[in-house]
Amino acid sequence: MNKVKTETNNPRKAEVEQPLLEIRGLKKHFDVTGGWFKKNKEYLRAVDGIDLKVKRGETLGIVGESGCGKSTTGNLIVRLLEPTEGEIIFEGENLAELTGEELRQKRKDIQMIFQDPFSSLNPRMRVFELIAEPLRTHQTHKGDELKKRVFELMDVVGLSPEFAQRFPHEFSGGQRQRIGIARALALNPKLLVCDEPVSALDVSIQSQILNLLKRLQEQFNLTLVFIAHGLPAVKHISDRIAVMYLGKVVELTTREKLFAHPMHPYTEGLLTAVPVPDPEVRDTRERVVLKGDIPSPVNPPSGCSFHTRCPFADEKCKQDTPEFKELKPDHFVACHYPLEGGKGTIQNPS
Amino acid sequence: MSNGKELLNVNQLQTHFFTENGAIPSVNGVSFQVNKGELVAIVGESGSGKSVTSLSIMGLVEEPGKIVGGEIMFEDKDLAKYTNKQMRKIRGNDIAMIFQEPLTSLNPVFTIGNQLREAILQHQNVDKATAKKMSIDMLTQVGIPRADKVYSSFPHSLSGGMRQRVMIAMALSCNPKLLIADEPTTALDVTIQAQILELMKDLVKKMDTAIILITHDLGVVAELVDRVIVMYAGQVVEQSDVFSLFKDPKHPYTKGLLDSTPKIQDLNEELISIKGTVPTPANMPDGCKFHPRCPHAMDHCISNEPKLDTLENGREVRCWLYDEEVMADEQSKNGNEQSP
Amino acid sequence: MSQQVTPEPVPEPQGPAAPDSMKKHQKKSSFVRWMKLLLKSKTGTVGFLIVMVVFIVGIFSDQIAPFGVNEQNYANMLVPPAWQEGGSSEHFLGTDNLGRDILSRIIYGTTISLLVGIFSVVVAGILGMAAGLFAGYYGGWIDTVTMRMVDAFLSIPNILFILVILTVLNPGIMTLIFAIGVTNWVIYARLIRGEVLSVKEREYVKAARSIGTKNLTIIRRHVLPNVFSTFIVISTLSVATTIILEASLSFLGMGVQPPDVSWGYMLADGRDYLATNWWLATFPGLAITITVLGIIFLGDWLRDVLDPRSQGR
Ligand SMILES: Nc1ncnc2c1ncn2[C@@H]1O[C@H](COP(=O)(O)OP(=O)(O)OP(=O)(O)O)[C@@H](O)[C@H]1O
Ligand SMILES: Nc1ncnc2c1ncn2[C@@H]1O[C@H](COP(=O)(O)OP(=O)(O)OP(=O)(O)O)[C@@H](O)[C@H]1O
Ligand SMILES: [Mg+2]
Ligand SMILES: [Mg+2]
Repeated sequence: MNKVKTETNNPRKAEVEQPLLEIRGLKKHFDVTGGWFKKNKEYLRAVDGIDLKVKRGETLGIVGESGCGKSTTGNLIVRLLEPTEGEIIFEGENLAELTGEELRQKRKDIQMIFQDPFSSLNPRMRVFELIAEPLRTHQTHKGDELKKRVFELMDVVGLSPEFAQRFPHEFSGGQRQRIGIARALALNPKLLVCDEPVSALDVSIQSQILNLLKRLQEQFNLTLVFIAHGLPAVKHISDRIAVMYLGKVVELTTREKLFAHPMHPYTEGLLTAVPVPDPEVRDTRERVVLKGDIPSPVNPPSGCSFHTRCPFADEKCKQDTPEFKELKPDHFVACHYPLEGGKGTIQNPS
Repeated sequence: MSNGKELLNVNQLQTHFFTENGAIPSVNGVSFQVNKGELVAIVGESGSGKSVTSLSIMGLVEEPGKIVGGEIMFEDKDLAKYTNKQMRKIRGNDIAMIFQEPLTSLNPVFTIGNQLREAILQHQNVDKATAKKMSIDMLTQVGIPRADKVYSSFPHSLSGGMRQRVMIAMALSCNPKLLIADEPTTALDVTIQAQILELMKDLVKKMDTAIILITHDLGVVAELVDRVIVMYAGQVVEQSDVFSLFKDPKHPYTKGLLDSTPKIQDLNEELISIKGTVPTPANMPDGCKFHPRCPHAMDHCISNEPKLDTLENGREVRCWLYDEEVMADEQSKNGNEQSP
Repeated sequence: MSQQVTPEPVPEPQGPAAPDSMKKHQKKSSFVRWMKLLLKSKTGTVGFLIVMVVFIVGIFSDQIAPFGVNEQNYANMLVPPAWQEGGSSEHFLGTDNLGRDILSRIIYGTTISLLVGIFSVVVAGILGMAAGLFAGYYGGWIDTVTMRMVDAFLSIPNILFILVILTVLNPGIMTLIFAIGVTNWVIYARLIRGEVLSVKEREYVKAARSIGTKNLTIIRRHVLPNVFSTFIVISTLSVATTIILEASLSFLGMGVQPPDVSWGYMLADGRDYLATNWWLATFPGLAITITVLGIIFLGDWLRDVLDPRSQGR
């Protein structure tokens, strides 16, 4: 078992400067009108107006349940999808407006690590070719230099050089994810978007990859957007965490504040729904079991989209959409009745 | 061992898959017991043989797989020797099973009610009207709102969590003595998982059904079960009551698994992981199957396979660290090396 | 994994000397490697042998054939094969209604059947592959236009279409290849497009896009190799249908023109005698069947070998 100790107080955090990435009013609506002759178009609001800032050198975690629009957000940031509306400002430049060669050049700075290590690598390419691909694409390295760089990258992510001529199917999930990380690092990006990089992996491998990402972030001064299903996975790696529900960010704050004093009832539900690996507390611990299912993003509920599952919802929540605003320093929430004291304010509804 | 409370006793079960590349011992000498009304978890990582173990109990192992050894004693009957026809009587009646993927376990062309009613009619001696009433009852019990409406709807119109509830309703509709749940919440979201776990807890209290819960999530284990069986590479490596296991894990693998499980309460930044990867059938190590990844591996572990030893409180562990002779040997060796 | 031999030299790792397993990847003659892979598969070997024999016969038909193509022997009309009553050892497979040696005609026919079968598949394959790749990958109006064209082609029976082309242009081998090629591309276009649509959605294509790889490079490196097995399957089956198509065209008098001869032509020619003199049509038919089988076997093997998962077995 390796223990990786990491610095707790990071000097980079102190710097106050223009954010590396700023997202304003970002929307992505998919046309899901079935059939050709329907008059009224139906839209699936995968991302429905989000505002985020990512500071240089920090890790922003994005969590939320299946279908809430996390991957869509990630794909929009790396411009694999065209936004319907909104701005993606990276180092002062609006990515949403870039096209063609300009966009291609910008891609060097923003790289992505994908969720499924089994389908994100071309099965017909060898490891060497896979890692060399970004370098060849942007013609940054050639000949011996290219070889040197590829082996350097393999070393950085902990793949031994003898693997260079193997195919992806000869590797386990964790090793494949390392290949994906090496590819993403090849061009020295400034921003790395990780879309659930560990959720397809075995428990004992997950922490290996998380540790690796954390080490690389420090080594190369990377900024990370780390997308995950549940809170436990983002907890170790994130500085700040955004909680998404039905295409919107409902709460955004530092990790410490989020865990100690969640202000949105959904965050509270998400926090207590995570099973605690300690049988001693199972009969005593406070639990908020959210009732009902996640509504469809095609017909999101009126007002606050969480009101159908919220234990506190009243008429106001059904009608007015709450504004996403800074209620406390560094603590953004979209809720009419934010929880003040944190845990324990909600009685168990069951 | 039999004490009247025992419901299932799996003894040295071996299930192999006979593929082109030779036999794969997916389940390689697995033994454990389940008592009446007890909640037992089988945990382990992908490929450790959890699903194959449960399919063997159900008699559902498919070609090229085959039970090649051991016995599965269910109330003094050896299911390993049962024919397919005999097993059909047991399945659904005495033992029921829930699968991981709620989407594919329901037939898309029949209504929920139709499938539920058929299941009841097949196993219980009631008329159609009663079966329908029982089905709606069951749906209400698993917490489905507007059960009579859901009764006549098709599976595709339900969400994943609802489908899993239907599967549970179906499995419990015949009052089985044993319910095997193979990763029942893995495909679901955390908030939905919490609902399902809560439900299973309630039902067990009410119906006194024994449950074998298969999972790789130690959090789920801690929330729900009485006893835990840890599997690694087709073998049981540790077996213990849930409290002792979490307080004092014996096997280095269990320790590693516990350490690498994310804990939401503590925010410290140290992440502990197990080095290396889970072995595949093609590169199964000799000796102790865990030794290449084990921080405590000794020379002895490389070529000698440990047996499942019984410790205090009925705990069992498969590790040389708990063998006094070996440890004494190892210590004297180390002592000799260090002295000169 | 011992078969993992790459044709290209392996880059030396930095720092410590290459570990043992690197040696497995050392350069070795790729011919030896292919032959080894071939010998591992029984059907592959059989297919390869058949195709080799057919090619050799096709190339050296002048030297091999015992008689000329149109050498007629009126004394020996409709002689049955050698092993039948009344057969002669001179004409091993018998003679036709004009007293021409069937074996010789089959040997001569090999050349043209192969030319037509292979080249029209090449023409159709290249056209269809390109259309399918671009339509599937780019989507939008390119896709719409291409697929409407495919629909248009499919709505006309292709034999009719070919006949029109052959009537407008002069019948002959080149026109035949051209006509079959430009009508058959739709089969490839449709199947390849479908395959591209699914490959395009795989994450590694997304990954390549996120790196900034150009579209043409993505098509070449990521999409093409992964639809190639589909292509091989359609092509091998297509060689068979083409040879048969050529037969029907010859039957209609629009295919191969005498004095040239092809298997299809012989098959069509011998049909009238099927009830009385079976050997006229049967032997050319057999030649077609065996060749087609050989090509299918070879294609099957090729598809397996091109799949990296099969290597090292
Ligand atoms: N290309 C598309 N066309 C139509 N709908 C889409 C498309 N891509 C995503 N969606 C829908 O948008 C919503 C958000 O999807 P997204 O993949 O972003 O969710 P997610 O938060 O990443 O979920 P998960 O945790 O399951 O990965 C979902 O309802 C999904 O069905
Ligand atoms: N049909 C099959 N043919 C060959 N091998 C099989 C087959 N089914 C299972 N196996 C092998 O049996 C072993 C155990 O599989 P099993 O499905 O029991 O794992 P598991 O512990 O349930 O894993 P998971 O958490 O991924 O569900 C694996 O190594 C697998 O490759
Ligand atoms: Mg996603
Ligand atoms: Mg399983």
